[in-house]
Amino acid sequence: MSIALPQWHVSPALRRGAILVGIWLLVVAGADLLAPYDPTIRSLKEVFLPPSWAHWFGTDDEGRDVFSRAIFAARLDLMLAVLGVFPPFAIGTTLGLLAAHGGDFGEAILKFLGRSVGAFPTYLLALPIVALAGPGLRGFLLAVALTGWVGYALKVQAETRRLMQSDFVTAGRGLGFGSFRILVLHVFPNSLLPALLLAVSEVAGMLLLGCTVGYFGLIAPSGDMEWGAMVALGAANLDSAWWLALFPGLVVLAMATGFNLLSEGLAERFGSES
Amino acid sequence: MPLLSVSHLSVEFHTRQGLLRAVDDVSFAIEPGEILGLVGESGVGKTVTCRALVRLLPGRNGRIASGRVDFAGRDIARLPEEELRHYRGRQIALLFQDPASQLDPILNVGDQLAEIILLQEGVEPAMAERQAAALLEQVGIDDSARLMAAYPYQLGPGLLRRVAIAQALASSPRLLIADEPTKGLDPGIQAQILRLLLDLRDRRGLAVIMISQDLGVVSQLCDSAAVMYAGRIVERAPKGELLNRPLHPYSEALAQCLPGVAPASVPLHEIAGEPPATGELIPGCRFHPRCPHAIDRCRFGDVQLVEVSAWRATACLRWEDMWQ
Repeated sequence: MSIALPQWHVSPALRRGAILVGIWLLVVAGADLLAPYDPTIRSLKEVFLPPSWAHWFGTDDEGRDVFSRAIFAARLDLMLAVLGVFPPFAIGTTLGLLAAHGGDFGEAILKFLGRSVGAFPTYLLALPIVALAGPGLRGFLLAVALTGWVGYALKVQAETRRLMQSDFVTAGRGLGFGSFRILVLHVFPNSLLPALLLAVSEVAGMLLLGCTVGYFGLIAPSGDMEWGAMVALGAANLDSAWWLALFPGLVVLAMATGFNLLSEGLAERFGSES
Repeated sequence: MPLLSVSHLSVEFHTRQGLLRAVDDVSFAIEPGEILGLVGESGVGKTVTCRALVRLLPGRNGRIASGRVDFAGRDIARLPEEELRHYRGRQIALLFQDPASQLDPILNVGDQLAEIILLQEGVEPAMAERQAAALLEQVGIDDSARLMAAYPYQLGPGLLRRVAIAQALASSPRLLIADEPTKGLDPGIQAQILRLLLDLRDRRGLAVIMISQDLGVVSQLCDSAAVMYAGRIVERAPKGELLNRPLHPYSEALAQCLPGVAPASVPLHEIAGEPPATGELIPGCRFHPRCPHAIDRCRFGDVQLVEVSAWRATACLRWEDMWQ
C-alpha cells in the first residue's frame, strides 16, 4: 500500500506574516547598514525639517533623522514584544498545569485568581506596576508577568482537563502506560500547543502595550530610541510637525500587522477548534 | 479452558438521574484464536461491556457492580489498578471506534509505536524502530519508513485504522477488542481491514472481540456471535446461524434491516421505535415494546437467556413456537 502524504500547506496569511516579520528581523540586524544617518547626531540647523528625499521621515526637535531613529528603535521594540510574551507564558502554563492537576479545587482557585487579575484592564494594571517597579525593560517584564498570565493559565488548565478525558489518553492507559508517563509525555505537550499559539497571537498586543508604556516615558527614560517615546514627541508637536507622530505610528502598525498575520496563519495551520 | 470468560457481569454508572445499569448480567467466553462478534444498535452496551473488561469505562462514574472477568484463569475484575495495568496492552488491547482519536496527535507514527515497544525490557531504541517497521508491515503497509515519519492528521481513515491496529498489536496482546473496526470506511477498505483481522488471528492466534452494528459482517466473519439489547445478551449463535436462523425477534429484525440480504420482493425493514435509554427499566422481555410477536407473558417477570442447544442461547420466551 503506497502512502501519499499531503504537502505542507502554507496559507497566504502565514506567508505574508512570515515575510513581514522576516523583513523586520533583517531591519533589526542590519540597522547600521540601513540607516542613512547616525540617529544620535544633533544638528541645530536642521530641526523640524518635513519629509524630503534627504530625510524620508523628516527630522525631530534636535535635528535628528527620524527614519534612522525609527530603524534603530525597532531593536528595543521588537525585544519588548517578543521578550514580553515569555514571562506570562511561563507563569500561565505552569499555573494552568498545576491547577489541572488539582482537579475541581485547582480549577476553582485558578478561576478566582484569574478573575481578580482579569477584572482590571491590562493597561490600567501594567502602567502603575512599571512606574512602581522602576522604568525600563525589567519593570515592563515584571508588569506583564503579573498581568498577562491569566489567558495562558485558563487555556492550559481547560485543555489539560479535556485531554485527560480524551480517547488517546484512555488508549494510552489501555496500552498499559502509567499515569505519570501519560501526563508528562502525552497530556502536557498537547496542552502546550494552544498556549504556544496564544503566545504568538499576543506578540502584536505586547508590542502595542510596550509602545504605550514607552509613550509615557517608562521604557526608555534615558532617551534610548523607542517608538512609543517617538510618538509621544510627535504628539507634543502635532500642530507644527505632523511627521514626528505619523511615521513612528505607521512603523508600529507594520510590525504589529506582521505578527498578527503570522499568528493568524499559524492558528489556521495548527489550531484545532479554538 | 477459554482465554477469557465473563460471567454475570454488570456495570453501573452513577449519574444525576441515579444509578444506571448499562450492562446487566452478561456472560460469554472466548477461546484463543476465536473471533467473537458483539452486535446490536448504538447504546445497547457493547462498548461498555468490552471496556469494563480492562476497567477503562467511558467517563469517570462507571464501575463494575458485580460479576467475574476471568482472563487466563485469573479474575481480573477485582484486581488492583496497578496489577491490572500489566494486563492492559500486553494481554488485552483495545481498538477505539475512531482511530484518529486513539493516536497522540503530536507524535509521529514511528515514535508512538516505538514508545510501546520500548516499554518491554531490554529493547534498544534502534531495535524498537525495526520492530515498529515490522509491525507496520504486518498490518499491510509496504512503505513503513515514510509512514513512521507521518503524523496522524496526515493519514486517511484506512491508513489510520491500520496504524491503530499496529499500535494495539505492539505489545503482543492475546485478546484484541475491536470496537467497530470498519466504521466510517469505504466498502473496499472495510473488506481489507476485516481480512487483516482474520489474517492476524490466523498468524498470531489472536482472539478478537469484534463490536459491530452490522449483523451481516458478524454472522459471516465471526466464529460466534452475541446479540446485545438494552444491556443484555439476547442471543448467542455460532457462525452463519444468526443470519440464516435467528432465534430472537431482535436478531431477526436486525437481519431484515440489511439491504441485499432480504429478498428483493420484501420491502426493506426497519425496527419500530428506539432502543431504550441506558438503564431504563423494562419489565419482562426488554424487547417487547418493539417486538411484533410480543404476547402477554412477554410483558412480565424477568426473561433470562436460556441455552437451547450446545452452541445456541436465546432470551425469547416464544422461540419454540416461532422458529422450531
